[in-house]
Amino acid sequence: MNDDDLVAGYLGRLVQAARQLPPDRRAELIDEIADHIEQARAVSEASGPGLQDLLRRLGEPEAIAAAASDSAGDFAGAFAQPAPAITQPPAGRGPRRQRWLDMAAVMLTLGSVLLAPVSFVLALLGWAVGIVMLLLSSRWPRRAKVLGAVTGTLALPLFGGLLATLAKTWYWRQAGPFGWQTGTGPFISTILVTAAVVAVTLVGVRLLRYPLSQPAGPGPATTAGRTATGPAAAAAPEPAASARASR
Amino acid sequence: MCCMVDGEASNLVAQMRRGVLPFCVLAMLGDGERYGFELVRALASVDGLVTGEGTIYPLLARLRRQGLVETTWRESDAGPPRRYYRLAPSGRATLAEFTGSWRLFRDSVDGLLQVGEKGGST
Repeated sequence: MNDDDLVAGYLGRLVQAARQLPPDRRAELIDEIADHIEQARAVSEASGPGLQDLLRRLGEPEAIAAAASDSAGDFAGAFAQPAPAITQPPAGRGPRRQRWLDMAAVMLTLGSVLLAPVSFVLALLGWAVGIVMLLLSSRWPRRAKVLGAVTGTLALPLFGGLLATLAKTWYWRQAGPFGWQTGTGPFISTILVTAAVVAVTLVGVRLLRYPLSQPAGPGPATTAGRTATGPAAAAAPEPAASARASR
Repeated sequence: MCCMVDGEASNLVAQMRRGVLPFCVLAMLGDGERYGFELVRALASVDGLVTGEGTIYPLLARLRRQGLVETTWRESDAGPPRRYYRLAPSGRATLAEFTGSWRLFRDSVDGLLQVGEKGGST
């Protein structure tokens, strides 16, 4: 087995072991371990026994993955009681700002098409800003980001085009006695637009229903597990941690 | 019976190690920034603190998410870009709090252990 195979095998085991982690954390962990190996190899432990020693020092991939799912719990309050007060400002102020930013991201990504009849450039600009905000937010896993971005991107030409046509037909027919409801073209367009509105709204609601703060993610589960197994000393800071998470 | 107490003690030591490790990371950043690889190597070289270097990375990620440390990426002459860690203001405050609590805790326990040793030897 050559050196690259050795590293690939090790990382493969890590990928397997880290399956239960949230996607973004899994990707981050694997990146960092891969970087560590690369850096160590760049320095000296490039090959053979040196490489094996390097991987031994890193530890079993399963232990690393376990430590990663472990660190979902809150430890900052474990010894220093005042620590929660210190870590609270980002946790307390952050979510409200994040809520608004995320709301804006979803609105812009999915809703900018509504501006298409007014100005397509404006709609495009809003959509682009929305996509960037969506992708930068730490709230959603990669899959949800892709869902939002794809929906927003699809909505732009389809829904935006339809809206623009609708607006035009409406202007054209405004002179007529029954307005735009008379033609069948606009009628079909109306159904399509309604369907698009429902689909886009569903995606938007789904995105905004994601829990706000990701660090506090699997709180209750780990709390239950720890209080059941650990001695009283370790369990003590947990209620404070979960209380903070639920706030 | 004795083995049960033994197991309990080693379990407690493992938990204590896990509990203090984050603060040891903060302490290592007390006098300036370090890059991840160097930080991990330095921590792992302290006796009995960590079992594997790899397990430190999830901890660093956690400290980042908690806003206790800040990171910047920088190019390096050899190898991939490096992520540098430094203490955030809240990390420095947390470290100071812990240092005070730890000394008090250590002195109290040391005092009691000394009494216990004297009692046992006579």
